[in-house]
Amino acid sequence: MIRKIRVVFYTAVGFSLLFFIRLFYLQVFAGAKYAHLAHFQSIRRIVWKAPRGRIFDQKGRVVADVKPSFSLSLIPRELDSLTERKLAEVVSWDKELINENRNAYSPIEILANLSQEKAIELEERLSGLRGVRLEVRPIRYYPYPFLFHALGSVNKITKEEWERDKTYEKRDFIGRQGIERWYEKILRGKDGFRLVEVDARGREIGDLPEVEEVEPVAGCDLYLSLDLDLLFLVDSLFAPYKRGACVALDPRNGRVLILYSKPYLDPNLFLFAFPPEVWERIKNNPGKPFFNRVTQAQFPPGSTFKPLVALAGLENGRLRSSSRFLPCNGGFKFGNRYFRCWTAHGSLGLIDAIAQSCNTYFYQVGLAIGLEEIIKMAEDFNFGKKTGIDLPGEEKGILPTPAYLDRKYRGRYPKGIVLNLAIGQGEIAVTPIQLALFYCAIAQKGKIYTPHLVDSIKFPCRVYHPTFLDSLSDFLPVIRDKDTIYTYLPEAREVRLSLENLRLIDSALQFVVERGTGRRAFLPEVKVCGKTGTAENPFGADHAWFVGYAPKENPTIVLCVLVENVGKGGVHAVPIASRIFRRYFHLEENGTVSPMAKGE
Amino acid sequence: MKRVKFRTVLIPAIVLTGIGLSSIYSAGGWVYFIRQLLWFLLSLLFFYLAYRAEKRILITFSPFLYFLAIFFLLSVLVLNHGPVKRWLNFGPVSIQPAEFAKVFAILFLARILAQKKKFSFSLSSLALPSLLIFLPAFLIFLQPDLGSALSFLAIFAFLLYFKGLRGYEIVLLFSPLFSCLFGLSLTSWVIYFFALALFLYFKASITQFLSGLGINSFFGLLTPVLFNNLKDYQKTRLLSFLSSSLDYKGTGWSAFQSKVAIGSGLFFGKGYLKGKMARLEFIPNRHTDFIFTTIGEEFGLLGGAILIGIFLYFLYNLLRLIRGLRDETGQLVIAGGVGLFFYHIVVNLGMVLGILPVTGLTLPFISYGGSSLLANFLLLGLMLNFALKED
Repeated sequence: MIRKIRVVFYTAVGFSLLFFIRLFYLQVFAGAKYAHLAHFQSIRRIVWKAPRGRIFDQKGRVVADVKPSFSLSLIPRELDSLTERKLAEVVSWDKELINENRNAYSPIEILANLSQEKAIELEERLSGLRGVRLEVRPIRYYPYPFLFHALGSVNKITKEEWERDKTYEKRDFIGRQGIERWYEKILRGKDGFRLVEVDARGREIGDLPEVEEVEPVAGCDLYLSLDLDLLFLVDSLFAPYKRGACVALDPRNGRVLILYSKPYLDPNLFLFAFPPEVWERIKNNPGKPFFNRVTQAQFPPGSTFKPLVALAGLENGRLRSSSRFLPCNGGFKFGNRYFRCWTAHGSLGLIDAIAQSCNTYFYQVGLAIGLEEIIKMAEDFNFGKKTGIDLPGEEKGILPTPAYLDRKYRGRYPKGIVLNLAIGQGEIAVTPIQLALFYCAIAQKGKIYTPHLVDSIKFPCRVYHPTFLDSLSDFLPVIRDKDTIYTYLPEAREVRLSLENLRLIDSALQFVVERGTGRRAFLPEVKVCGKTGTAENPFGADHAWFVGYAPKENPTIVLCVLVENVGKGGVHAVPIASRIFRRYFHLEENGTVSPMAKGE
Repeated sequence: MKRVKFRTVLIPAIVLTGIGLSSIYSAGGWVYFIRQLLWFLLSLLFFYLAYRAEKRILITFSPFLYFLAIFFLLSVLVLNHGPVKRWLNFGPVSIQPAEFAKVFAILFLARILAQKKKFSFSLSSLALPSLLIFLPAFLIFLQPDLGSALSFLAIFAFLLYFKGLRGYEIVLLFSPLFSCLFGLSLTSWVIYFFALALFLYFKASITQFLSGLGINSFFGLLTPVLFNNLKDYQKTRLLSFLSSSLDYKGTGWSAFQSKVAIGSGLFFGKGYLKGKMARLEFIPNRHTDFIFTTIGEEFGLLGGAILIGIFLYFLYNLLRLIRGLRDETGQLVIAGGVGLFFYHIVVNLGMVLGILPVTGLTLPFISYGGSSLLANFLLLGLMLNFALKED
């Protein structure tokens, strides 16, 4: 035992000697060098910004790019009067910014977004001044402003956000809305750094060989399902209108082909400080340009809801394709109220009632099957719930469930509610994407795929930082190969419905386009099915809806168009849809997309 | 006689804590100083309780304490989200269960080993203790905290050594692990292999010599084969995991700044509260793991040497507790405790002085951190309890 104690003790003595020798080396032998370094604090740690991942459309065209940005920064702690005097000759800047942080060692940006010429000029005149730094950093660039609601934008990080996650720098950008926000972790990448030695005047002498540098890891690239060609067309089709939205889905997998909302803002605006007037103008815009109408606008679906009511009736057996009710003479008297139809249709069967969008018929369907059946079916088709699209801030819509009505009317809600619900008016509100998803379900005979914008995520470079990968793990159920780290696998759920009933609705929707209210969407080459609608608006002109899909036999696109404050759906929304279908099926020549057409 | 021994251990520990408190004030300011002072008062209570407790009861409850620690280590992994999972939050304070797991593992292992009368370098003797050491080490490795996970191996080595294994047997036992680590680079592995061969040639029997070299060759060859089959990003991940998982700003930066701060202290230091490097935020974790930089900068070579001297004196007195102690459990508790302190001191100083890679380990009694201080005094109380209160 004594021997073992001695062995341990002598080992400890050995280590103590080793540490003492090391201390002696550091503090006496190399001490002068380190004291010098410490005195001048002449080692500077320079953050090496990781470029944000780029975003591409389905055909590989860049929709969110990265470009270099030149800026001039000052290190307050190192400024001297000579530098300030020289600086004042060349540029003017906000002196408060520096005076507030007089003791800071980290650079403070005083001029951003310099042109390359200006940057070179400043470099020549200011180089060698202590505490002055010209920097090149990668910065976002959005070539197509009309993608604002899909992509979102990046903006300077706020103080609170920085407090919460200090892996950001105080002057970093962070994704604010849309894809940029939802995929922030993936797009962001990981900054590297390098250490440089600077002389007494702040000039960089060179890299420090003693310490490894850490290369930045660029953010991953995202490939979206959006089709830029179609979006260009949509933007031009919406030119006459102030407000509206358009969404197209591939019903076979939920891929989002179009996501457009108007009005929009130029996302490049948020990259630099802009004058307060501009901000005032944006804030006071009655069209609410930050509002993504595809996922956040909640309007009554109007007649586009009728197929769901019909399905509920057919499934529950109270309604048959041959069912006829009291003929339509321009309206329907219920209790002491008179519920209007838009014209006198006479006596109709189910298919014609959908094709001609007869309200009188559906008032009576509603009475026949009751509110609960309709609500049940609507819930099956995801109304009143988020669709689960990969965008932040999605709204749920409003569904007048019995529970909701009990709360609102204290258990005695008027019977008239079911009449209004049967024609998609009144208490119900849906988002365009919910409506599109319902028509996807019809097109796919009951199958509902979650809408999704990102097809795949790819590594931009060959350096993979471990913690960066850890942060991705939530998003990466599938790793295919080295470059593609994630491929979206569509997930479906199914609403059990009789195929016969679905076929019936399907052909009714075809009749809508062939000889009903949607005639303007008729194409001789492709069988289009769809439904128009008008969302009643108590505050002004009604909103126009069109939802449809094509081709009938094997639908590959579901389209939902909403135009606000223009009146009837058949007149305004359908022509837009028709043009989109024509372009989608290559029935009109493809306008070529010039990459810098807008936003430059 | 006994009172003298009691003081020779406790006083250095309290002096070290005092040095720690003053350095924490210098590096971190009032807030950390006050908090650490409160932790210290609580630690003295822990020390007293651990010292006064009945040994018999401690030994009876040691499995319970051990599995309680395992339970907390599991909760840490389950309750925390994010890449680093180390703390359990109880309102304003957060506890690091790993620190207590080390103490309870020592206690339980000491009991298990002491119960074995016939102990030899064989599978039947080593299987259960290895499993009991491996379990918490693995859970802590998952946090991830490689430094703390390896501390269990240090404890294990000390326990086995004082239980009766020979030095070369312990080297043989741990050699496959080292073979894996060194196997990442061919040169380092060849040097390691020859050193091992030479050592075993003089120390071990011919069978052990041959089987030891065989096993080491196997693991040494296995590592590059496995490693080369990894994808690029997995390799990078593994390597940076082994080098450090703590400091996202890069380990090179901390290690370098630490050297600058200490080096600039020169012979006499810059004087208390005058250390510029450690006080301005150049050094990450400057009041916790890198606290020695403050001491080195402000008190120079003189201060650093005195501190190392106090640590040596402290370990010397702890080792003396074993001498003449008849109770084997007591001997092993003290041996494990010495192993833990020894490992922490050597790895922390090695890291701060730029000899060893950066891992997140505290310097006992000096570094800021409630869990660490509490666990250290608790352990000290247990060690003195077993050493001085013989039945």
